Amino acid sequence: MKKVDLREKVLTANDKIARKNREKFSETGTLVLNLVSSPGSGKTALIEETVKALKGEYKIFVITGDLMTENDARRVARHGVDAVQISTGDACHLNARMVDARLTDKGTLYDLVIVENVGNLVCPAPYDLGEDFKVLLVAVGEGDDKPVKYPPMVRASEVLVITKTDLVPYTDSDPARIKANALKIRPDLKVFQVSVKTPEGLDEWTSWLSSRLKAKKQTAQGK
Amino acid sequence: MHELGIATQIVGVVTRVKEENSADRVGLVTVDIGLLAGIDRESLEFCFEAITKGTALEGASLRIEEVKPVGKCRKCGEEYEVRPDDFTCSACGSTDFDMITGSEISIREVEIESDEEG
Repeated sequence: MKKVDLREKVLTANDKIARKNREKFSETGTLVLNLVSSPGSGKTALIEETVKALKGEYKIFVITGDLMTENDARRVARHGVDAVQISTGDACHLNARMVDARLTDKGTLYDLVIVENVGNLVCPAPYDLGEDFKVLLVAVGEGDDKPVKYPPMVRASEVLVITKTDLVPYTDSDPARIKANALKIRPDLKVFQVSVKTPEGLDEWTSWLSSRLKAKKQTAQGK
Repeated sequence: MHELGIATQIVGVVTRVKEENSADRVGLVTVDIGLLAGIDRESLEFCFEAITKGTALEGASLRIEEVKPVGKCRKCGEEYEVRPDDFTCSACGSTDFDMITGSEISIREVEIESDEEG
């Protein structure tokens, strides 16, 4: 038996495509978000509100990932922005190649690309899509200790959005506890609390996003 | 179940190594898996066996070396073992750290064999 010393990262192929995606987006100053959460935490609803608030000022493209159906892309497209669905069949996460195939050529025409990953708090964590950052959503009522139960996803995310805060009176859930649990895993997380119904916190979220969009655009123009 | 995807990637790399070296068989494949990489060991072993059965890699076996998470504290600079359920710095109690090891998913070594050595 001969031993071949390899030391090769298993996700090298994915990471290469992700790097290529990221380079293209940084040339045009396109901000790319990768939304991750359990199924049902409100990713699509947050995207709808984000799109409504920002579509006047920015060109937005949305990619939604699910195993089956085009429901989410249709929901988003109603708001007059370009949206495409990735139906993964059985796959539990999106990878960089899927994003590249739908996007890279025209993705650079947009200011903001929002990728809604498959609802899953485990598998999307190690897959870089070429995004600027992952946004983790945890809904009120899904378990305040969710962040400490799924540390790799919290570690991989830069932003936490606690959703459905309008449900607080009807549950034993406390957004402050969700936040504290998440900060135990990643103390530098940027945290928002939103409700798409009331609409608490949405302005704060969209203005922050808008400032990140401008910053990215400026960096690209400065090159 | 992204272990199936990870196993598929491993099989792809190992197949490439086998072909590059014109080898006839693959023996032990050693992979380093960080304990904070979000990979379930048993699922990965199961997937690897399932997808190599009946292929050119039949008979290859997977050895998983678990890599303990080590972090460098951003507050005090201490390097400490990060427990998967408790990220607290052993020196100052902060949980703000950079991961040094523990998130890797990589192939360390592949054993290959050829019928005619030369």
